Amino acid sequence: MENYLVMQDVTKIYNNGIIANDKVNFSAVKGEIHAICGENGAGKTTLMKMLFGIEQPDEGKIIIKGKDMKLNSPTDAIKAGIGMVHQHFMQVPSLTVAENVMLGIEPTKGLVFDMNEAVRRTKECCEKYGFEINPKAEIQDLSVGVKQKVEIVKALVKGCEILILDEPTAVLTPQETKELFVQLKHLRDTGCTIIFISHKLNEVKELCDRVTVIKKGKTIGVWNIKDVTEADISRYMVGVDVDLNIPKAPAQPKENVLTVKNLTVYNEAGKKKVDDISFSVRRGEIVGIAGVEGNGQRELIDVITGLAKYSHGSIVLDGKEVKDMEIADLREHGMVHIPEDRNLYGCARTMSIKDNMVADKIHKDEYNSGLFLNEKKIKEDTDRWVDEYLVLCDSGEQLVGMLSGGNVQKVVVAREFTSPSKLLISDQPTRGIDVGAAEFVRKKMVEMRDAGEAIILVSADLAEVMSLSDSLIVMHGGKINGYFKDVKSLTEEDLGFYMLGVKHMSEEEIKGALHE
Amino acid sequence: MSLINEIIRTLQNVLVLPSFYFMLIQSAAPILLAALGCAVAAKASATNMGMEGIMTFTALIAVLVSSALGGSKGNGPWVGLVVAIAVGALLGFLISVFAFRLKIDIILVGIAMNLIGTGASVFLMYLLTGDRATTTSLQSGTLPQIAIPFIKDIPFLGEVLSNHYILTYFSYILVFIMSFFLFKTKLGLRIRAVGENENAAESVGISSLNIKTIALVISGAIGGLAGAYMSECYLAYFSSGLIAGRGFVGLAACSMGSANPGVICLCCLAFGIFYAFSNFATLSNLSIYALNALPYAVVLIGLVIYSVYTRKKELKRLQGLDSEEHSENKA
Repeated sequence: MENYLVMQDVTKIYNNGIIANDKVNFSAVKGEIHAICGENGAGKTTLMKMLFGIEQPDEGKIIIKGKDMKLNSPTDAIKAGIGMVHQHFMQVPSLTVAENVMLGIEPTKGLVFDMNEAVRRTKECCEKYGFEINPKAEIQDLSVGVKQKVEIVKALVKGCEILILDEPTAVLTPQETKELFVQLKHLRDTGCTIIFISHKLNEVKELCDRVTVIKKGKTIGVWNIKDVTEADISRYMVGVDVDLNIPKAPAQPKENVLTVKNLTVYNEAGKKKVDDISFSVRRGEIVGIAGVEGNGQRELIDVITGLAKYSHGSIVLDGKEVKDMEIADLREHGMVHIPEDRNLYGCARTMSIKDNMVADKIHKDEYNSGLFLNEKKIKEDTDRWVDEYLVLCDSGEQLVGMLSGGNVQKVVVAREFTSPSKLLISDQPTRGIDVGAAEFVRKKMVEMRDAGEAIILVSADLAEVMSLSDSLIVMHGGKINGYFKDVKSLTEEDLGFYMLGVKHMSEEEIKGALHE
Repeated sequence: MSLINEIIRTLQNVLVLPSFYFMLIQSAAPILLAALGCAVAAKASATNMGMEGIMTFTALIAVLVSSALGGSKGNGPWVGLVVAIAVGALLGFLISVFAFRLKIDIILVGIAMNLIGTGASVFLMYLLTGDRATTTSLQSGTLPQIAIPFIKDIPFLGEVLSNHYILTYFSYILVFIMSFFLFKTKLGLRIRAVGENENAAESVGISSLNIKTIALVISGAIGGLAGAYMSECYLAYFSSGLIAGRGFVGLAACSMGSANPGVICLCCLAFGIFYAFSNFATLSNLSIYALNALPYAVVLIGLVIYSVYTRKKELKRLQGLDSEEHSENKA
C-alpha cells in the first residue's frame, strides 16, 4: 500500500544542544493504526510535535500524500489534515461541547455565533463516527473519557485524516480505554490514519497494526504487530548502553529508617495513583525506584517528602508518623530531598549560591547573631562547600540562575548533603546534567550511604538506577510490580519486562520490600 | 455598635425618599461602566488594573474638548464624549502593548496607568486653566437629561426613573449589550476561550495576543465612557479627586460578579446604595467622613463574602468530580 505520510531523516536539535531526534524515519499508510513506542525522552513527543507544526525540524522532510510539506504552526498542520489529541486537553471548561468543537471555525449569522449550526455540525460528526456526546453539555461537567472524545471530534470536524493520540489511555479507566479502542478501530475502517503513542505494550498489541520503536532519538525499526511479541517490543525499547562503573562496596544495611505500609494515594481529581504499597528503607542502603513515568512514583515521592498529603496507610520516618508533619518538621526530623525539578523546587534562581546553600539551615542558631544573620559564618561555610562540591562559579555571591544545569544541581546537592540527615530522597539527581557532574553526584551518594544514610533513588536513567541501587523496587500502575533484593542479579531485559508490566512478581516476593 | 444603629436608623429615614433611589441609580452608573469595562478584559484574562487612571484622564479630556467647542451651547459635550471614548481605547491599547508585546507584568502596567492618569490630568488641568483643583471656570457643560414620557407622570416611580442623564440610561442598557456581546457573538466566544484556556485557543489557530488586545481596547473605550460620565453627567466639571476610587470599586464589582454583566449590575447597585446614602449625610448624626468611607468598607466586606463563597463552590465542584470518579471506578 502507498505510504500516506512519510517523515524522512528528521532531525531536531534543541537550543540547549540536546538531540531529540536524530535522522528519524517514520511512515504510515492510509487506514492503519500505527504505534510509536519508546522510553521517556526517546523522542516520540518531539517527533509528533514536528508533525503537528509545534516544532520545526532542523533537517529532513515531512511528506504527506507525496507532497513535501512545511508545517510552521498547528494551523498549517490542521490544513494539511493532521489532528492531535494532546495529553492535556485543549479545551475551555465553561464552554459547551459544540462551542469547543467549533472554536476557530465558528459558524456565524452576521456577527452572531450560530449556536444551532454549531450543535448541528457537532452532532453530525459524532453520529458519523459513532461517538455519543451531548453537544450542549458543558466541558467541565464531563468525565475525562468523554472529554477525550470531544478532543477527537474536534480534530475530525476539521477534516483530519491523520490523527495523533499522545498517550491517550494514561488518563482513562479500563472501561473507557476499551470503549476508546472500539471507536479508534471504527475510525481506522473509515480510512483515517491513527498514530498511537504509548508505552503500554498490551494496548499496542491489542489495538495497532504496526509499531515503530524509537530509542534515544533514533528509529530502531518498524514491525507488523502480529510478527512481534510484547517481550520483543520491550527488548527493542529498553536498553542500557554503558555500565556506569561506580566503585561501591556491598551495602551493609542496618535498621529501618523509613517504613511505608499499605500506602494509597489519590490525586486531586480523586484518581488512585499509588495503590496499597509497602516497603522500607534501611540505614546504609540505596533503594532504587524504577518505572515508566506516570506509574505512581511522582505521587509516592510527593507524600514522602511532604509535598502532598495522604489519607490511607502510614509512612513512618525514624519512628514517627509523618502524616501531619510540615515539610520543615520533616527536615528537622532528618529528611533531605533532591527534587526532580531543580529549577522549580530545588533552588531560587534569582538568589545567590550562598543564599541557596544556607536556605534550609538559616533558622539555626549558628547562622544567626542576635537579630541579624551571621554573615561571616555563612560566607565561611558556603565558600567551603563551593570548593568541596566543585561548583564552578566566580564566587558564592553569583546568582544560581547564571550557572549551568550541572552546577545548579551541585548547589542543590551541597545544600541537602550538608544538613544532618537520616533519609535522602534523590529524585532524578542527574537528569540533564553533564557527565562529570553526574559522576560526582553519584559518588557523593555512595559516600553518604557508607556513612549510614538511608537513600531512595528515583531515576528514569536505567543505567543509573541499576548501577547505583543496592535493591530495587519496580512500580507499575501504582503498585510494586517487582522487588529485587540484589540488583546485580537483574538483567536490563528483565527490568524492562517488569516496568512495562509484561512480567509480574508474586505477592510473596513483593513483600520482601518491607523489612520487619 | 451605636455606629451601626445610627446607620440603620438613617437608612430607615432615607429609604422612603424617591430622591434616594434616583441618587442610587445615578451613582451606581459610573461604577457599572467601570466594572463592565473591566469585565471584557477579565473575560480575556487580561486584568485592566488601570481603569481608575483611564477614567481620570478621559474625564479631563471630555471636559477640555467640550469647553473648547463652547460647552453646552454647541455639541461640545457630545464631541467630548466621543473623544474621551477614543482616548480610552487608545490607553487600553497602550496597556496591551506594554503587557503583551513588551512583556511587562499587566498589573504593574495598570498601576503605572493609574499613576500617570491621575498625575498627568492634574498637570494638564493646571497648565490649561491655571487652576489646580477644578475646571469650573471652563463651563464645559453636561450631556442632556431625558424625561421619559408616561413614566415621568407615575408618582414615586417617575421621580426615581425619569430625568436621568442619557448616559445613565445607556450604562444600564450596556449591561444587556455586553451580555449579548460576550455570550452570543463570535468575538465574545473567542474572548472567553482565550481567557479560560489560551492554549486551547492557540491550538485551533486563534491568536490570543490579538484577542486580548481587542478586549483591552474595548475595555479602555468603556473606561472613557465612564470618565466622561463623571465629568459631564455626575458633575459638570473635572476636579482632581473626581474619580475617587470608582475605577477600583468597578474592578472589585467585576470580580465579585465573575465578569458576568448581570451579576455585576447587581453588585454595582448594592454599592450604589452606600454611595447614595453618603449623599444624605445631613439627615443623620453621622460624621460625613464615616459616611464617605462607607462604600469602600462595604466593598471590602463584599469581597470577603465573595471569596469565601467561591472557595466553597470550588471545593464542592472538586468533591463532585471525586465521587463521580469513584463511582465510575466501581462500575
